[in-house]
Amino acid sequence: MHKFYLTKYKSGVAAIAASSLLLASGILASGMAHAVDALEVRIPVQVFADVGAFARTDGSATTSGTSPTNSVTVPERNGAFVGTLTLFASPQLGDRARSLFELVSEFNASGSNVITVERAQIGYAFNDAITVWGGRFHSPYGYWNTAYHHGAQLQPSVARPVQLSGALPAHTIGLWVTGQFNAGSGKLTYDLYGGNSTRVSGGGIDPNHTSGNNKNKNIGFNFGYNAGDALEGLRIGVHGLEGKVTECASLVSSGVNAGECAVIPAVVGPPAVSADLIEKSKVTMVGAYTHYDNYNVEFIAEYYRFKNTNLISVAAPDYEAKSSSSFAQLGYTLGDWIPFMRYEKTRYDQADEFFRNLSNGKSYNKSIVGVRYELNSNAVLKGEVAQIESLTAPSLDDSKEVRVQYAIRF
Amino acid sequence: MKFKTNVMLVLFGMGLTGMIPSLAAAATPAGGDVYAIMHPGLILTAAELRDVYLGEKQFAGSTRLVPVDNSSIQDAFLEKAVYMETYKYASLWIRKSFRGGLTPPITKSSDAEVIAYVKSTAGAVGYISTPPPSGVTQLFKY
Repeated sequence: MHKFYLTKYKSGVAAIAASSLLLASGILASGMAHAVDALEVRIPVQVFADVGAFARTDGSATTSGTSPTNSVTVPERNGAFVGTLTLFASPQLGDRARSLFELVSEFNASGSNVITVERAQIGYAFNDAITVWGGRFHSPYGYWNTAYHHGAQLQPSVARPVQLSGALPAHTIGLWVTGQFNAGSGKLTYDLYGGNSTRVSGGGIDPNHTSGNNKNKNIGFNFGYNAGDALEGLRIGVHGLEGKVTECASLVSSGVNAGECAVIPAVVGPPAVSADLIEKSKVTMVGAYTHYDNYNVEFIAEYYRFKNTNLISVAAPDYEAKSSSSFAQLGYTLGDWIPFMRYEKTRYDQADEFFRNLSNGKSYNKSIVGVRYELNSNAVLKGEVAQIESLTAPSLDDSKEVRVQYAIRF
Repeated sequence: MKFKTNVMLVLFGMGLTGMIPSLAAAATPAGGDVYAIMHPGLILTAAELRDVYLGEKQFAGSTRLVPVDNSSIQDAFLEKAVYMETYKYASLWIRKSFRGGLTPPITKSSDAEVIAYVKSTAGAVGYISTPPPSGVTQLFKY
């Protein structure tokens, strides 16, 4: 595994850099100063990349869907695609200071190349029971969102479940406390996190990177149990998330501030966090999930139950909407081949201002059958066929799609 | 609807048939002795040692644990002490790293390198193919 390391320093420069990060993270309390003693900077670096092709039976350029890697919402089209190029590094700075950075290069709906800071976390491990991270991280709900995300070579299928692409705040900018305790032959795990509230912008979810545009915060939890002994490989858990979602009253259409909230005179618009933002809805999610990976079997199932409240809505003010989403996937390893199947289902109330304003906030059923072939430990070929039943007007069409993908990691 | 039902039936069918025979599966130990060693001053149980190599245990009290792999006998150690095949072990650490930012164990290529590293590094844990010399603590013999 030493190949993963770009370089390894024990120099004064590294010591200064690491110390600066410790100071910047604001956790250099007196009782933690010993962390610098055995300072050794190790920088594991990995690159993920994928290419592929897909075809959809209706082939309609006006049908809303998701890109082949489900990174962004784009009109569906048939043909080849270049997926995401991910540069991932997790420098470990001495005994306890941690960091994790992930840069993603991908193409947006208009075909322009966009480079985003997918994750930027700096953390400190007090012990096995407490690690604190600050920055932008993958919101730790369920299993899939943190396990695979943009790592196409790790992901068992070509596309992630659509419900995990823009219908939940996949990223949080804030604090994340995580850890685990021994419990019998297994381990109890927890994740507690909070950060900037979510903003809906252009049909997508914006985690509000720079904060400041509203006073609300998202909070969430994930409690799990990793079983041991005969059930080793089994994880079960419950998760929840709550926050108030805002939406810009209008967006700046051009210039350097394009896409940002337009400044509106204070008397305009309904009462809200500010005149520029409309506090649209309160989102409350609870659910459960399981993951099993042992004896050639990988099984993932996740369930999300929503009870959202419209805070401002012309159509349904103070309306309490109940929605749900779920999926289950099973794969079985047969040598280098891993056939898999997945079923996805969402039932999003369209009177809910949150889901109504999201491009992927639509109800659907999706059945997928596919296979993954391990060329070697760094390269995989994947193919899948899906049948989609759209349940939200105006896209009440059924369609079938085929996707193939060649994904590598080095 | 029929397609959906069939998918769900096959999903759970595969799960059941996949798990039942595998529960009876047992690993066959590889030949040759393997000695787990540690920097003096700390002791781990066999379960804790396994957790260290699986990234599930990173501290013993206030000491950060530093596992080191020995490529010359890695397959045997993983089979006897971690109960895992080498490719699954590598895959596990890629996932651990991607998901939680954990750093995989350092890899050394010989007993001598492992012994030198464990001797000089507080919290270091390793494994070698010969009885350990003075200056390191023997944890287990497999």
